[in-house]
Amino acid sequence: MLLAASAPPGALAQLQLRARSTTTAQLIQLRPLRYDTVSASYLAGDAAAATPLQQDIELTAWGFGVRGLRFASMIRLRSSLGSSLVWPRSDDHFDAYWAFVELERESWRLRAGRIQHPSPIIMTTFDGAAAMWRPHGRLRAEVFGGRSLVRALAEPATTSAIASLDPFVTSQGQLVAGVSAWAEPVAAVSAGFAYQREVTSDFGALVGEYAALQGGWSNGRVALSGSAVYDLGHDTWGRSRLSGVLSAGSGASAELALFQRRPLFPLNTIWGVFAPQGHWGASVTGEAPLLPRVRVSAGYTMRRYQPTTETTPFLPQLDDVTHTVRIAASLRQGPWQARGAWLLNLGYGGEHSGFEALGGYRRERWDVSGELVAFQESEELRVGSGTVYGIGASGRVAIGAASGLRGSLMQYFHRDTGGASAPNWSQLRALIALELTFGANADGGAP
Amino acid sequence: MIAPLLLLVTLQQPAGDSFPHAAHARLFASCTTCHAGVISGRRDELMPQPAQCRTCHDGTTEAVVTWAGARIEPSNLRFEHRRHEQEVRREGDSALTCVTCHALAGATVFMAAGRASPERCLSCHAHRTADHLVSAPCATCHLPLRDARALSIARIQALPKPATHDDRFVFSHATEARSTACQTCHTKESCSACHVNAARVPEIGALGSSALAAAVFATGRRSYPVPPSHQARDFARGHGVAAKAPGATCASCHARESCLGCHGSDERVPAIGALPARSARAMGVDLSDRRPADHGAGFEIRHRDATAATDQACGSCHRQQFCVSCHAAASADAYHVANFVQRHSAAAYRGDTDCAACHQVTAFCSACHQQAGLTPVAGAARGAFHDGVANWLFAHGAVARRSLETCASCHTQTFCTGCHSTTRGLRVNPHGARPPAGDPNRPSCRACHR
Repeated sequence: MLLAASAPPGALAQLQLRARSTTTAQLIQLRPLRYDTVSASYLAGDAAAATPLQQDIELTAWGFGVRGLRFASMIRLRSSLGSSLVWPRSDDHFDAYWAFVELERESWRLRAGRIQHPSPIIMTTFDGAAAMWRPHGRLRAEVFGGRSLVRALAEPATTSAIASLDPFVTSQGQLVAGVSAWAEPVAAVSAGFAYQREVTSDFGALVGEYAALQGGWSNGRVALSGSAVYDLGHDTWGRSRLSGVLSAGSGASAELALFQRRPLFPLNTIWGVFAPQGHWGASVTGEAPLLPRVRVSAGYTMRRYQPTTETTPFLPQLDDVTHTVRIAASLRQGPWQARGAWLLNLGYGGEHSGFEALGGYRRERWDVSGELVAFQESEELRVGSGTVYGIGASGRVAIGAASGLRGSLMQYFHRDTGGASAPNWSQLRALIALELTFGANADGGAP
Repeated sequence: MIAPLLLLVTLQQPAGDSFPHAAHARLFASCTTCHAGVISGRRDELMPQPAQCRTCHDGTTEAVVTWAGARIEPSNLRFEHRRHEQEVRREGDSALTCVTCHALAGATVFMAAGRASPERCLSCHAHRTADHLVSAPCATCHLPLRDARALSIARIQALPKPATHDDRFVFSHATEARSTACQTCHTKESCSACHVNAARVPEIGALGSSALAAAVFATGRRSYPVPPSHQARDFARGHGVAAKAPGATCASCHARESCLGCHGSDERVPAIGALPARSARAMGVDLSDRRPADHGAGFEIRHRDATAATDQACGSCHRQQFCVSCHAAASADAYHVANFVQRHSAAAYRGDTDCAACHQVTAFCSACHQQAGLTPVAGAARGAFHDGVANWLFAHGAVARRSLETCASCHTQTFCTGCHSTTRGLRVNPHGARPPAGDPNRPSCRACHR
């Protein structure tokens, strides 16, 4: 509004707006566990349905009479279609994920407002400003800062959404500032750096301080990349990863990766001082065309945890190593496509194997597919054991040039319940989403 | 004598010799007795009519015969007997007669004649190359396809393909297309079947139009071979520079929609806006479902590293809303498999998908776990979640250290400090063998250490 009001007379004749609306309604059946005092065990209750309704509105406006000036926003409205069950976050009726004014030129960009800032460290949302400088396509640098919002919540640190659940949470707001740079000094060689610091709004306490490095090299056939995040607040490495990808001309590729992980806990929670133990791991994945229209892929990941440091007669038999195996294949013949995958997880405090198969028919304006899933869990530290079968279908149809309707329906059947708890995962899940685009088709011409 | 018979019009020549010339040897004084049109230029006199046969084959002089007449096949030859004769005379080659072109090979008798073969033409109009279809001045003998209106669709479809037009030719034909030779077999409809920018290319416009050719090229599936430059692993990442360079040829194969499959949000990229829109005739390269080479399996987990290039690199293909579809929780139906909620425990325990990057654990995980009955219930002998392990209270430390985020998905911090505190509860030290580093005045320390 301010932009429109401050625009030069006559300039608004060139104002263009584009809005995208996504309305999503879901039905998710649940059977909450209830404690049975007679049997002193947990039993699955009757099926009840959560019915969240979500409305996303994305708005972009430009043509204010100043070259490169635009406004962009994305808001989300949530509600429920009358169910007593509350799907996570559906009781939070409004969120603004971003709403900023941007002025962009060939070599720089300024943003002010609510900004979502992705980085090798974490996706950060804040109310403030960001400035990016890119003297040419191979060098970029950015600084940003402002009032920090809770990670993945787009609300201030003092939000009641958390405070009502955990009274330990700080009552102070938070500030964030950071800098990042990225360069590709020669073709196929790149390097990036990011630094971010969060403090309480009175500058009295550190909430989090992280630095990240990233680099990559590729010669077309071989690509090497590495990244690492250092948690300066806890004085320890957070995540790091080194991977090499070998690509064959036939479309086949193989990747070998080594990685290490320790979660990044903010300093205003107690989790970081509870001696969290990280793990390291290695994974190898491969993908190749088996037949002209068939592709197969396979992967194996191993994770090794630090040996448990506590000894107690009650220590559960924890494996120090976990394994994950995945095999998948896909077929594409004209508009027909099919894919299947099998997954096995071992040693994470349970065992899990799953299979899923999907067959579909896809045209440019519409598609339909059917899906079969089956998975089995044998839990040591979790809710219980069981086998679940699922069958469902999904589809999509385009409406006009940039709009569409999609939906899916899945029914799951839970069998062979075991364990002291008796969960029942038999349930129906359905989703329908209407996506509409309004306003200027800016793709039709350069502003 | 018969030299003058080299007249004629047209783009037409006899298809095969259905008339038994040899059986009528010496019955006619000249070729033009039956082929008067060669001199007159009249098409209907070019070939004899069956009625002329009955002059002799009347049932009395000769037996009645049934002859349907000669059928004239349309062609794209630029041959006109009258003009040819004039040029021959002008060049002083008076030895050229009907026999020169129409006598059968090795014939020694009169009227051992038939259709003139291309080889006869080439005996004088020799190409400067061994291949009839390569680098020849086609226009000497052939009309442009746009003017060969008599050609049938079948004949157009059967036009021979030069040896140079192999699978690689598509990548170099732009330079060849400046030659008029292309016009012999192509109209602009040939090109616009693939070229989405056909209307903007002068060379294509110069080919002219033909309704017949349009009918031929209106059907059939187009394929767009991938140029060598596009096969480099990092081409997708750097293609914007090439697309914005002067003289970029993207529009030859790519319609605006080709780009918008990925650049869904980029309303303001001039290079995309400048591309022609997809048409029913030329669809352009279909790039839907294409992923950059480095977006392979597992990229959703390691994609944060790619954001080191700032969001501008991601923003080339992804709308910002694309990030929110995962990083805003409770709406990520495109990220997790449909039944992920029922089997997410393994991924949550390992932290391989870093749940906290998208889900605020307290507000998201706890809310659902509470509702599902997984959180502690007052008066219960044990929690539903930990039913697999007896004496869980004494054993939970080892598991908790490996996956504290899992604990936080049900338990508040206050729940833990009920025991792990220096000021209350059981005063159990939670720090393990290594004391925590950093400022002891930070909030997490002050929670227990007053």
